[in-house]
Amino acid sequence: MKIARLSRRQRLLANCAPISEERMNDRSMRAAVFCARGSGEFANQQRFDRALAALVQSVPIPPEIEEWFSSENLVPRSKWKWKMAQNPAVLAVAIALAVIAGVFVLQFLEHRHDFPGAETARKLLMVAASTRSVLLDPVRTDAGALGDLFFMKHQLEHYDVPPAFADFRTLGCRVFDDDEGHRVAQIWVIEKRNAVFPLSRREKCQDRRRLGVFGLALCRAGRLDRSGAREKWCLFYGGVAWPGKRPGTICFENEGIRHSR
Amino acid sequence: MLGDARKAQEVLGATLREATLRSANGETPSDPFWLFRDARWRCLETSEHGLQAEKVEFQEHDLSPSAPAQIERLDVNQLAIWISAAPEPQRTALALFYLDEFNHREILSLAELKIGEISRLLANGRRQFQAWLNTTVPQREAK
Repeated sequence: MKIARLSRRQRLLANCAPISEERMNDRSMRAAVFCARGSGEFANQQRFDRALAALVQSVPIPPEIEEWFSSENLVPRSKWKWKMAQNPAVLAVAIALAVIAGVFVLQFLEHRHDFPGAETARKLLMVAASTRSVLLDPVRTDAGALGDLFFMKHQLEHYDVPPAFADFRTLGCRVFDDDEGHRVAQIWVIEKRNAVFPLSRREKCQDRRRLGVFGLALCRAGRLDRSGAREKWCLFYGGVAWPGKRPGTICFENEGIRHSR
Repeated sequence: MLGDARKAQEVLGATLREATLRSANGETPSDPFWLFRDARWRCLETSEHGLQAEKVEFQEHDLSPSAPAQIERLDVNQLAIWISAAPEPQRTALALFYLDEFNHREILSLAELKIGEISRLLANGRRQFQAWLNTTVPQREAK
């Protein structure tokens, strides 16, 4: 078999046949070499090439050049490339992570001053904020006197307004059932148009410490804070309320909902 | 490609310096052969200065079965000088094929040649080298 029997393309490829078969990673080249393998001319070419390659391999490398390549990390690669940050995929992932982190931070900041019963307190604050005066029965008296009214009109036994707020002048009151079926009394007082909620019966709160710390909870932007008198005030009591773990916060406990501290 | 160890070392140093700078600036090209391409152009530029090989018509002989024995008797510097004296782009093709053992596709990319040209340059190079071998190391001596 002579190399002349190969097609023109195969002849061209056979002339460029790699010296080492390991370098033969091209299908058309493998086919050309396979066809040319039987020819003496191609065998001569291969021997010639290998002999030259062996001669090249024997070229001594000058010591100074050898020194340059003594370290595998001739050019240390930086771990982080600025170009990597410009990659749209990397950019998208980074933005997504930043947004997720931002949401978590906001959530954390929002709930930092939370206390047991905060959810119930928020619901009642929303009710207080959305209540219109027409929904309440007009009652102009001292808040302390409403305990009797609740007992006589709504059969709410022992729903007493704490003495601290007994002197507040009222505008109106009503009794309604909350989402969980608990009866809630709401009182509007003149001072700063406050809404007062007796939530629980007094005898269920025997802990004097708890009863002694009934206080005002500031409602603003969904956060409850005990400090400051310049804001709109909403008062919750009846369940239990006590100072929160953090200064300036107040904790609530609704009847029927027991929250751990 | 240069036939001169000192010039070759200078070109290698300059190429590596360029590679280091590019790498440090994060400007390494995506072309995997850019270092060889750069080195080749530097070699061509350098070879334009100084002594130039005389343009002669090389004789061509068929490859001989005793060529490996003839090559064995050669000094490696003789091979380097012979390749460096070859005209461009044959010199590039021979250097990339024999010195760096690139395959034909890589040489096509590096030397910007067509397959027909590379094939002709390599085949002619072998026949011319055989002719030179026959003169330098006669076959009877090699045997």
